[in-house]
Amino acid sequence: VLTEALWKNFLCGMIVITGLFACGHLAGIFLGMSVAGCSLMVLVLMAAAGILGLIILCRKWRQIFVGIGLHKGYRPEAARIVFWVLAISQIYYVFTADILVTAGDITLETVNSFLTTGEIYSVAPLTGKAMAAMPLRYKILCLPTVYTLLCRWFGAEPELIVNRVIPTMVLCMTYMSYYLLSTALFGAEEQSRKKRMWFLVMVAMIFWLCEGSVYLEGYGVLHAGWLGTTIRGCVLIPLCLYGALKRKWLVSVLCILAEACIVWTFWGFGVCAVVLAGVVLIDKGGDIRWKR
Amino acid sequence: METLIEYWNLALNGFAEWMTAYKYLAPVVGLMLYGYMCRERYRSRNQRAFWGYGVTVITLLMVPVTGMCFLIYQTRFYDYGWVWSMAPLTAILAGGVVELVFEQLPTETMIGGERMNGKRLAFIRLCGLLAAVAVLFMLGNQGRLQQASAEELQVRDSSEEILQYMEEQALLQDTILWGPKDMMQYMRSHSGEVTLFYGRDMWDAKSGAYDYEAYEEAEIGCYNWMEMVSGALNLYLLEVEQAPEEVHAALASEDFLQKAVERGVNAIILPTQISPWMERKMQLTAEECGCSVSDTLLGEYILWLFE
Repeated sequence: VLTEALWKNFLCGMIVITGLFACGHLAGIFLGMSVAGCSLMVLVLMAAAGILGLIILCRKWRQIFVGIGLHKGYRPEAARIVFWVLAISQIYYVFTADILVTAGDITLETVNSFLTTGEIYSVAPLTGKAMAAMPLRYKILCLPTVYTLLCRWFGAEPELIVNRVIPTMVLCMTYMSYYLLSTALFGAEEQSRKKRMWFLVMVAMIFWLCEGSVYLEGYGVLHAGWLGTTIRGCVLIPLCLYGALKRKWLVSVLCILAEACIVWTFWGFGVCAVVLAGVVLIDKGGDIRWKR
Repeated sequence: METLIEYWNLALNGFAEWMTAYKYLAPVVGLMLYGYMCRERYRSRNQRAFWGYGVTVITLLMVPVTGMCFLIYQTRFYDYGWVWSMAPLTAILAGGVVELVFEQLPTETMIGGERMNGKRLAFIRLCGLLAAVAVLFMLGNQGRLQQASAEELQVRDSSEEILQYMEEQALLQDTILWGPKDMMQYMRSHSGEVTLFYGRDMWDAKSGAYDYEAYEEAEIGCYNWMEMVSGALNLYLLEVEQAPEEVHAALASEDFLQKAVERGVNAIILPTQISPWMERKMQLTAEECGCSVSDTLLGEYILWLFE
C-alpha cells in the first residue's frame, strides 16, 4: 500500500525536474547554447537537485515512506484487481498501438531537428530549411528539449522516447495524480479505500470508453501522451485540484509553473491557475456561508 | 469588435458542436447537479469545494457570455474544445458515479427493515457500477478504438522504404525532397536530415501557428499539382479515360516540375502508375534546368533524382 505522501513527492519531484529541463531549454534559446551545452547544464542542475532531494529524503523518510508494505491480513480486493487489469492493458496499448497523426503536433520533427543540428531551433522543424521567425510563445516551451536530451542520454530513437516511453510514463503519472485526487475527495483513511479504488477503476474505464473524444483526457493519455496539453489535462490538473482541495498550496503552484513550461498560454495564466483560483474562491465562499 | 463577434460565434457554435459530438456531457451535468445538491450531506469540506467548483465552471462554460470570456482567456491559439479543460470532466464523471453508487444506492445495511448482508450490498453496488459503465459505453466509442487506417499504414511503409534507401545511398544530405504530403510528413518526422520543399504547415492549419513562414504562389501551386497527380493513383488503376479533365491537364503540364527544380528540389517521389506521363516531362525539365535525371523504383513509388 503506497502512501499519498510518496506519490505527491514523486510527482512534485517530476515537476521540479521538468523545471530544470526548462532552465536548460531557455539557456539554449536566449544564450544560444548548443544541445550538448544544455545537456551538461541540465545534468549539473539535476545532480544538485538530487543531492538536495537526498538530504530532504534522509530527514523526512519516515513521513514519506510510512505505511508502505502489505498490511497484516491483506487480501487483494476486486477493485484493485480490475484497476490493475485496466491499467496494464492501457500500458500495453500505449506501447504497441499504431501512432495516430495528431493535427498540429510537430514534436517528433522538432526533436529530430535538435538531434541532427545539435542546436535548438536553428532550422525550421517542419522543413529542415533555415529558420524563419518562430513565435516566442512556442519557442519557450521545453518539452522538445526534454525529449531530445532523453534521446541523447539513452541513445534511443526519438520515436521510441516520444511515442512510447513518455506516454507510458505519463499514463502512470496520470493514475498517481488521480489517486491523490481520490484521497482529497474521499479521504486517505482505510475506510474510504474502496471508494478510492473504484474511483480509479472508473477513471480507467472512462479512458478506454471515451478515447475517441479529442478534448477529453482519455484520447490524450492513450494516443498522444507526449503532448503538453495531455500532461496538463491528465497529470497537472488533477494534481492541482488535489493541492487546492487539501490546501497544499506549493503543489498547486508547482502545477501552474509546470504548465507555463510545457503548454503555451500567451497572456492567459493557464488552466491550473483557473482551477486553483476557482477552488479557493468557492471554498472561501462556502466558509463565509457556513459561518453565517 | 470584430474579434469579439468572432469569439461570440465560437462560443455559440462550439458549444452546439461539443454537445453533439460529446454526448457524455449529459451524464456529467447530471452527476454534477447530483453532487452539488447533495453537498450539504457531505461531511468533507473538500467534496463541497470540488462539486462547487465543478458546477460553477460547467455553468459558466455553458453560458455563452462567460464561455466567451473563457475563450478570450485561453487565447485564440486554442480551439473551442480546450476551454473545457477547465472543468475536470473525467474526475466529475468518475467521482459522481462512485458517490452515486456508494452513497445513493443503499447506504445503510438495512432495506425494508431487513438487515442486508455484505454480499447483497456488494452485488447491488456492482450492478450500479456496471450500469454506469454501460451508459458510458453507449455514449462513448462503443468499443471502436481509434486506429490508423490501412491507407495510412501503407503510406508509412512506403515512406520508410524510400527513407531507408536514401539513407543507404547517402542521399539525405543536400537533398530537397518533394512528394505526396503524407510521405513528406512521415519522412521529416522520422529523420532530421530530410529537407522538404514545403512543410506540413502548407496543409495543416494548426501547424501554421508554429511558424511565420509564408509560401509563395508558385509553391502553393506545386503543392496542389502534387496532391492532384499523386492522389490520382487509384483512379488510374481503374479507368484511365474516366479521370477528370483537370487531372489530365495536371499530368500534361510540366510547369510545376520546372518551378520546383528551379527552387532547389532535387528529389521527387511520384506513384509508379503515373510514370508513363512523367518520364518525358522529367527529362524535359532536367534539360531545361541543365541537369540529368535518374529514376529508382521503390515499391509503388518512383524516386526521381536530379543531379
